[in-house]
Amino acid sequence: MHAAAQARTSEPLDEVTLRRAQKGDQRAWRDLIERYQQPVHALIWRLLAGRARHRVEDLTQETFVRVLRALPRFDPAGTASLLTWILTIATRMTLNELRRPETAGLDSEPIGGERADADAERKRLGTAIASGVAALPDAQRAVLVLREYHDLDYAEIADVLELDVGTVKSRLSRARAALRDHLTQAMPELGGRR
Amino acid sequence: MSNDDDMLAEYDLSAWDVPPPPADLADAVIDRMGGTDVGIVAVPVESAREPRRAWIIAGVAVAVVVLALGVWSLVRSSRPAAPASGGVVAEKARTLSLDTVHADLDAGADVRWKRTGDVLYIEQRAGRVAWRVDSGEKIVIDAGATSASVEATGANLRVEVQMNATDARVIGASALTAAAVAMVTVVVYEGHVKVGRPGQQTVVVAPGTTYQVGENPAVPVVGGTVASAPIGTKKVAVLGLELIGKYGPDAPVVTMVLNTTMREAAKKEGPFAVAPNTDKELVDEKIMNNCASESPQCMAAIGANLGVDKLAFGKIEQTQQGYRITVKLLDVAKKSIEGSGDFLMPTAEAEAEGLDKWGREVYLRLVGVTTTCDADALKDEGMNHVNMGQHAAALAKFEEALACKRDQYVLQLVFMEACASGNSAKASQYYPQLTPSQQTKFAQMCIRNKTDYHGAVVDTPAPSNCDEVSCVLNNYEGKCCEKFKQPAATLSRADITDGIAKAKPQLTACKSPVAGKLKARVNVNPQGNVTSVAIESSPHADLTGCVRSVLEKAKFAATKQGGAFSYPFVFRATPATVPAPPNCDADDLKDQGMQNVNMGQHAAALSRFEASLRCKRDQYVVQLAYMESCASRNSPKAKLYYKQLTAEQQAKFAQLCIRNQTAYEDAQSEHGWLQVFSKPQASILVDGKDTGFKTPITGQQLQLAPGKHKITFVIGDDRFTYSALIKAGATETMSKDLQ
Repeated sequence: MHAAAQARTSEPLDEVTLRRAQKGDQRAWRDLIERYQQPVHALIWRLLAGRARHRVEDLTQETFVRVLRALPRFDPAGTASLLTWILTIATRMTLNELRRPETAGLDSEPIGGERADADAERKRLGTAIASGVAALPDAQRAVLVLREYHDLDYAEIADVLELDVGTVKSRLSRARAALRDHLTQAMPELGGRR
Repeated sequence: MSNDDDMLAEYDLSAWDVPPPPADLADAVIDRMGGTDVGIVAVPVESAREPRRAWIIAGVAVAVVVLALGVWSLVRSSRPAAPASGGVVAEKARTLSLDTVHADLDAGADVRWKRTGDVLYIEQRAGRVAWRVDSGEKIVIDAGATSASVEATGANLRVEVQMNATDARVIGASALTAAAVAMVTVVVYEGHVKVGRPGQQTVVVAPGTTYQVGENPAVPVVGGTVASAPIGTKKVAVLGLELIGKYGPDAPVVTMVLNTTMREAAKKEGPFAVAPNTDKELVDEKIMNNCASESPQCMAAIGANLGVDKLAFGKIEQTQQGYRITVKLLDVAKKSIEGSGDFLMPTAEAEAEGLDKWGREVYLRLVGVTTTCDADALKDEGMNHVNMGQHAAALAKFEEALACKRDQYVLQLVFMEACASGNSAKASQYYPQLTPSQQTKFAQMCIRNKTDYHGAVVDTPAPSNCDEVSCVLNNYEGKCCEKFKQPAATLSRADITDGIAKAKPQLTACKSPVAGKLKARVNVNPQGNVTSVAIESSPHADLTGCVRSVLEKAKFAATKQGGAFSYPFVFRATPATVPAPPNCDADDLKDQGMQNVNMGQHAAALSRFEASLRCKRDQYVVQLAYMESCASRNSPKAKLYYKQLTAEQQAKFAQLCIRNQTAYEDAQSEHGWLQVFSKPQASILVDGKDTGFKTPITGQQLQLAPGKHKITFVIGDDRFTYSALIKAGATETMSKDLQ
């Protein structure tokens, strides 16, 4: 399954639950968090790319706290979907976190392959992708993760990162090229499978 | 997306999996939000009423019940305390103890509470609750609206909040329940209970009395409802609008509010008497009478059952452009439609005042009580204001014209004047209603006038209180968010662009007699200050010094390491004047100038008119050049062209420069001014010529040559003429009571 395909499998929150959540209904809050916690957590985890992993949980929590506080201001009829809006908050918080000297200065820890995995090749690929993505500049990594893992289109990514679409395209292109080069070296046996 | 999408196709990127989120994430977040789980469904009570809800509440004549719970004795703090905040939606009958306040909730009752200091605030959104308040205690209950309050001390009472039965869909959405409150009934068994409504006297409700607050005036109820006073002999039932098609979450409430305001208009303004007990909903009546459609025959049967002569009903559909409202008036006896109307209410007007206006307008137009508006006349008045440079006044007139009759051209004018008057809220309101072509063409108006026209479609407002959430949502924009923002390692492209953009006005002021590219290399320290500027290439020596001087003072974002960059600037040659082309087309140049006028580009318009005049002399174009000199506040040009105006043009258009505080004569100080006040308001003529002013005229709006003038007050067909002596440099005042 393509990574992006996984990102949008969850159904959007229904209107009534959203309205209730906007009014502070805790049951609706819970529904909202449970609906979106996976993509938010995954996004933050991937954007941090092995750095300050102890912060992933905190940032996920903080993202949802901010989401809930700001939720009354979310306009369901606006241009952004609720998921994109939440991912915007998560992305910006994580990029801000990455600017912290203590976070930026940390070396990447090994990311992939920490769980027992029957498929050794897949495990190795996961590790290679993780290290390749971790090596990208923060700005390129954000574009790549939002596109490849969260299926945001160029315009949505441009909104999330406040870039013009052309910049998104060029960053994405550079990020993909860099990751492909990395993977070609790390997994030469997969490079020719097209 | 693009061919790049295939670049990583051979790799299964999902191989990089992530661990699952922590299982207790939701609990942790809700805990941090300060929630308290008690009872069946716990809901935190908002610390302040959400502003957005205010319009919903204000739009509906619903009730609020407020019981004020008095000082929460500190002594009581030793006993087991109820949760400081929480809420219950009772799925079955249950009791609730909040320290000394006890409540018996019927199934369906929706109650939330929050203790702030010594006061326990209770919000009863729905259902029936019997409250027991100990002697000496006082509580505050908010039933979800703000039009009434009840205060109880040492009392036993029952509070019933009835929802609008036809809005069952809404009731499920707690966000909107407040708007769906139709009636609040307070039954007092014992104790002291007071009921108050905003703007009305507080009423003491004695034990044994039932008090009802709803759409009708609050009255002690013995039985039945209070009939409205008959306005005419014919009776009408306003069944209101049925919401059809796909719609958003606000549409049901918008519909309900419109129905309410239509009924209010019917009751207050006639021409028919509203039959008692006919506040029925169209949907319900159709179901009850087995009407599959709104055929006159079936609707007439509904009307007959209700005992009315006329039936008002219609449909409302939410569209991208707004709410399309179609209404009909049925003659029940004749079983025929005798009136109909089709309206488009812009989404932006689907709020308190807008809904009041639209509900009333829709009903009154349907029944033939026309509001005496003349859209064309209002538009013309607006155009006069435009010509006088009175953009706010023009905007108001165009809006009136638009309310009178929807017209896409007037809509365009409204948007343009919103831009010209710097009214961002209005510009944002009307921009989405323009056609795409109009949007493309006229957005420039707002850009030129630095008026934001995207406010309505911005997802998140600018940080108002500069909390971290607002800053995150705005990507740390603004000075107040700096404290939350971590500095970047080095200057980013965006930082450079921002810094240069801030210096752009000064850079633009650097003039070059020849066109060309200037390239500068700039070093910036971590504080964002420029430490050195090297001009690598420049088309002209004059530019080099100017640009360097500007860049040295530029300010960039603070970073950890600072940065350096090269930046190219392209300069156009700046000739002293724009010569008219050799084979010029005066009319074309005039038309171009008119386009500039329409875009609010007064200086450009002046330039075009001057080019047209160089091409061909035309007294009308002289007038235009004068007008645009005034509008662009170009006093030398105004003086130049004022002299060239005819006496009639001078009398008529001198006001333009006065309005724009632009001198148009060399000896301005030799004028005096006249302030004029009157009751009622009057149009003012001076020496028989219309000034375009209406009283009150204050300050130096009306400038007159020294000497005696005839001042005529025009009120309808009546004219009252007086003389005034104007002295040079002095302000005379004339005040007349003409009632």
